[in-house]
Amino acid sequence: MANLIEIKNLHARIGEKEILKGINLTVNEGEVHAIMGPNGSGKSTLSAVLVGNSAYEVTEGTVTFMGKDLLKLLPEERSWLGLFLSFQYPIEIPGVTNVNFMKAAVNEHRKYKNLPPLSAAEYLKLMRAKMGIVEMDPSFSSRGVNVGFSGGEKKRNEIFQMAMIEPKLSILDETDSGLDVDALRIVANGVNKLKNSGNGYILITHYERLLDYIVPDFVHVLYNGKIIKTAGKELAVEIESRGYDGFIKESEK
Amino acid sequence: MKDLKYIFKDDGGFRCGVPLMDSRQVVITDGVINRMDATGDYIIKNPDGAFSLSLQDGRRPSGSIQIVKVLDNPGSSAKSDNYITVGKESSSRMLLCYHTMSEAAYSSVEKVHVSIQENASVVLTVMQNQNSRSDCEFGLVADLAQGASLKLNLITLSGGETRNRPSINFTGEHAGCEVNGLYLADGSQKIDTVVNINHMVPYCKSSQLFRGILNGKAVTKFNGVIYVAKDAQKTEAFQANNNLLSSEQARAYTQPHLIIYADDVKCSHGATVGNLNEDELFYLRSRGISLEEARQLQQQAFAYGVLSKIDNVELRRELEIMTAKRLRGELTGCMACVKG
Ligand SMILES: Nc1ncnc2c1ncn2[C@@H]1O[C@H](COP(=O)(O)OP(=O)(O)O)[C@@H](O)[C@H]1O
Ligand SMILES: [Mg+2]
Repeated sequence: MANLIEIKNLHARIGEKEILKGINLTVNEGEVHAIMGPNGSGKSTLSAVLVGNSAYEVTEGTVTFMGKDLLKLLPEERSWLGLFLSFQYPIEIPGVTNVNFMKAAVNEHRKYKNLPPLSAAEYLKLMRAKMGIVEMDPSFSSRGVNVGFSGGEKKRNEIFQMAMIEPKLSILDETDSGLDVDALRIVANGVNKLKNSGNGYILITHYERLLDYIVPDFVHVLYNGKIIKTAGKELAVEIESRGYDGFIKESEK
Repeated sequence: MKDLKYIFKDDGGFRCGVPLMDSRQVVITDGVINRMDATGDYIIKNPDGAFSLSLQDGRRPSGSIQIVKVLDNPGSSAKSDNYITVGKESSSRMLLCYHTMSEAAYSSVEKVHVSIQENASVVLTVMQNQNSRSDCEFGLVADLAQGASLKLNLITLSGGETRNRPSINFTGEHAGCEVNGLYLADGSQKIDTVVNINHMVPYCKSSQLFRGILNGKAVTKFNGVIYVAKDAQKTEAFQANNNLLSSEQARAYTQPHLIIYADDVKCSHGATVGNLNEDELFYLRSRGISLEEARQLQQQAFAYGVLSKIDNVELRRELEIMTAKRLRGELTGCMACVKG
């Protein structure tokens, strides 16, 4: 199993405030990792730093992704290498249609791989197939990116984009939050269809129920900028019944 | 946007294909009609290097009429007073295109007097696509009689120094106008727009949306004057001007003037000058869209806010493509003209 990402002693801050205080995490091909933890622990910050949001400053540590020094790369270069984030709060982009957005994205990925751009017909076929995976109506393609989408539709759109781009490592930041049971099943089934022995997932979640659909190989608890506990799927069950307090107290001893 | 060397391409007996398969076309080069389709209900004359276009009462020709004005002879300067008269109860779609034929410096002062009579309706799209050494003053004065309606789309794709002066006068009650403007400027281009909307009588409605996208060291000015006379009660008048600066050296100036003497009116205005949206750029880049491409998409989206108001799908698509090409610095002529 080849290594996808190796995060070592990662520290990051925003302004004067240190948020990540030494993260260590390795994900290999074929693995699903869940990251749980109370609000404000730094889960979204970790995702933002990995995809290259320049609001955050890395002060210490290294990240190797697909054998490259990830932290040196532009956000688009990280995407071309195979990194994807399903945002916790996907933004709306009025005036840019979903179809133009994804066509541009897919074709830039193809350019990176020295492939010719897709023809309109090829694109349409691919898009239809991938929309099917998240049961998204094709009419969404002509609408502005996320404009007027419900919370659940935005999350489905994130997974649709993931399906189009076929990343090596996907981070899903609370993609399950705010979804009703049906939407959760659709999103989870989508991920399961895309999961294979060559890619990896980091699922950031508060709820064990997502992990009933997508079974993780590892569950980590992130608290106050550090991973304080790592175990198997059973850890999520334990957190669901006991909360985080016990683990936090244990780690502070 | 790269610096543009726009040339209207003459491939021998050219035909401007913008917009429409169903358009009747009249090409006027250096003031002289050199090509004309059968114009049907439209009556076209060519006095003094100008055009006069009229439609009699009650005529509603299908398809649109297109007048293409081309400056060819280098160093030529053109000054003309043109007339459009649309008779009572008539309806018409018109496209007016301005081109330069070479990279030479041209100068033109173009005035178009539009008279829209009782209950007539007009959709007039003006497309300016001139090289960056050209100097152009374009004045449009439209008088709207009772119940008349005008939709004016003023699209400035390129020009060296452009002064646009559209004025709309409401002379009869229950008339309405919608003005949609888009101006693109780069290099050292200057675009100066002064809009005058004169509400002289009650019960008329006007709305304006002007957007500008500036690159390089471009400078644009927008002055929007809405005048509401004392008797023009129940007037509704809206105006918006939004500018997107895609470079640090570009400058957009915007100034609304509302001069209102009536007391029972609804009027509003809004003006903005902004930069590209960083959050949107980041989202696009996180999907593998390069920074340059993300900037393009955002500018196109901004332009779309205006272009989406153009009802004719074929024309809108063509203008979208031309706008996108223009923003990339690739536009060297009307697409269809080049294709043709
Ligand atoms: N832009 C920001 N400015 C200031 N503080 C921030 C910013 N973004 C996040 N934080 C702070 O960083 C901490 C971690 O936030 P976040 O990574 O969103 O946590 P989580 O996703 O685990 O809920 C919180 O205390 C939050 O208030
Ligand atoms: Mg979060």
